[in-house]
Amino acid sequence: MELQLKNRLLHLTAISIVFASCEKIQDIPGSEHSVNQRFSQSMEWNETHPYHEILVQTDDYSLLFMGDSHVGTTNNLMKFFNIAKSANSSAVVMAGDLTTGDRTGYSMLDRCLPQRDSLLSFLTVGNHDLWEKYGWEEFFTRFGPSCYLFMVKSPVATDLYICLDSGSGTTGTDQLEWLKSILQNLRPEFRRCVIFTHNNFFRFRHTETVNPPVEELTVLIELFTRHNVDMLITGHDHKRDAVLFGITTYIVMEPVKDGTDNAGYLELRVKNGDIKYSFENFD
Amino acid sequence: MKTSSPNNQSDKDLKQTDMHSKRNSGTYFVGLLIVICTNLTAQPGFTIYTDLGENNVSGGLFIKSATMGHIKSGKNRLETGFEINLKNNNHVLFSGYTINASRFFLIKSHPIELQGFCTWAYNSQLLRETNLGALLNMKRSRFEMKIGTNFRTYAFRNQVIMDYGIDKSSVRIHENFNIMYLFVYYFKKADDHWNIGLTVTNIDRFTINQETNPSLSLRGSYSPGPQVSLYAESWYKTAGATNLAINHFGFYLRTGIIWNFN
Repeated sequence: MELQLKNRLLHLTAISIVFASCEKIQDIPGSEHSVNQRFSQSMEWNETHPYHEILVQTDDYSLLFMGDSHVGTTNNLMKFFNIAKSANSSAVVMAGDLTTGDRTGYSMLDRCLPQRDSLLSFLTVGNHDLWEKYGWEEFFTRFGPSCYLFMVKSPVATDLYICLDSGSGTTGTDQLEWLKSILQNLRPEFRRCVIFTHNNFFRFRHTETVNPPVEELTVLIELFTRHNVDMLITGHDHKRDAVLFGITTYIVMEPVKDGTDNAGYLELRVKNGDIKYSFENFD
Repeated sequence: MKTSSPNNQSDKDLKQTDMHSKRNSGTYFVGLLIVICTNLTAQPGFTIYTDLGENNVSGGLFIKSATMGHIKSGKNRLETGFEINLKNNNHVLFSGYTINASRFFLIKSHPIELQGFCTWAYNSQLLRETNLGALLNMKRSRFEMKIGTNFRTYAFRNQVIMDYGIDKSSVRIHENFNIMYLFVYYFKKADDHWNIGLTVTNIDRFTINQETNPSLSLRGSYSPGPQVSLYAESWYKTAGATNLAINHFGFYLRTGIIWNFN
């Protein structure tokens, strides 16, 4: 009798947890905006804001990439912008986790960003930027879409840069279809193709950070190989890595975050069609 | 794309012959193990199931089916099986093969199963994924737990390496170890003829996700007799769950039958 009562109580507890969890799904941070919704808003924005085409005078240009600034504080971030300006970089690319998710972080980041006439910046979201309910609204209102293209046109050729939103761990159905369409239809018109996003693909070390599910990785790697994607640049894992798998180089950048021992960024240089990268650390 | 000279062609033939002989050796080895394990007390059985579902990369409905066969002899169990894609957008028919061997033993009168396994997944025309690992399985009347580790390798298929001119040094990627887990709570005791269970896991027969990508599953089973069990499962997959930026990834239903010839 006592055992039966105990079992019924256990079942009741299990059922309550399941139903309570279902009701609470809306309260989970980040669940309000699926990647499909963010993609839809980004595409609407892109319709009224044509993709950037950066013109460079010679076939030798550089872009600086960074991720994981987790603003907060902005010492390294300001150093990064200053280095980009002094190195005459064509643009800076910021691959997510730019804030900690705290509301003040978005306004602080907004204040730090260089004026567009002094240095172009291209941003996307990371999981931290989506943590809080207001995260995506703050990001989208201040910085625009999380999924888009830009091009760098030299006198010799034009290179394609694709920004993907992987902040919630997956590219989602709609963004994946868009990516397929871009790679099938637009990619052949360009010399080089570099994709940047927040989540890194492979687990070269044991880590608690999220990667896209293995089913999705297989599809993305296949797409990158079929369409000759030169490079995937990511952050998220806070530890540098670079590996050539097939014909694509998969890069994980170190964080820009203040107070980290390995704080750094990535310089991408394209010269006469050759594409080279170097990891740089702050002094 | 690389072209093949006559010499390259004969090299290719040699490689293919070598591959065939490796495959034949593998089949022979598996067959030998089955013969060794089969004796008068051996208990064979099989499992057949079908999955219907959808996920962010399936491009609509996918249908898969798998067949597993096992032999249990004393404290040892050997299982092997394969999976086929009946409907999918990746144009691959044969999508997985697995083999595992288990040894049962007791720790303080609690039965424990130690399993070693190797799984090959072919979910792309270009790639294959291999997982080697070990699992410890503990089963009580209402609770089941599996915990273990696996090592994942992604590799391009041989034909793709030639077609895309992929350098030997960039043909495969080995990942660091991954933690595998499965926790099930059953609403009724294991010996009951029907049961319902709730599962949190990152593993399935042919798919092992990263430990940070858990799935939820609800399982119902019914045994019309001592040898047969019918079951149905609903699986919900998430992305980004452990980084608190969560997104739906996929959902599928599984129905299957387990038949043990005692």
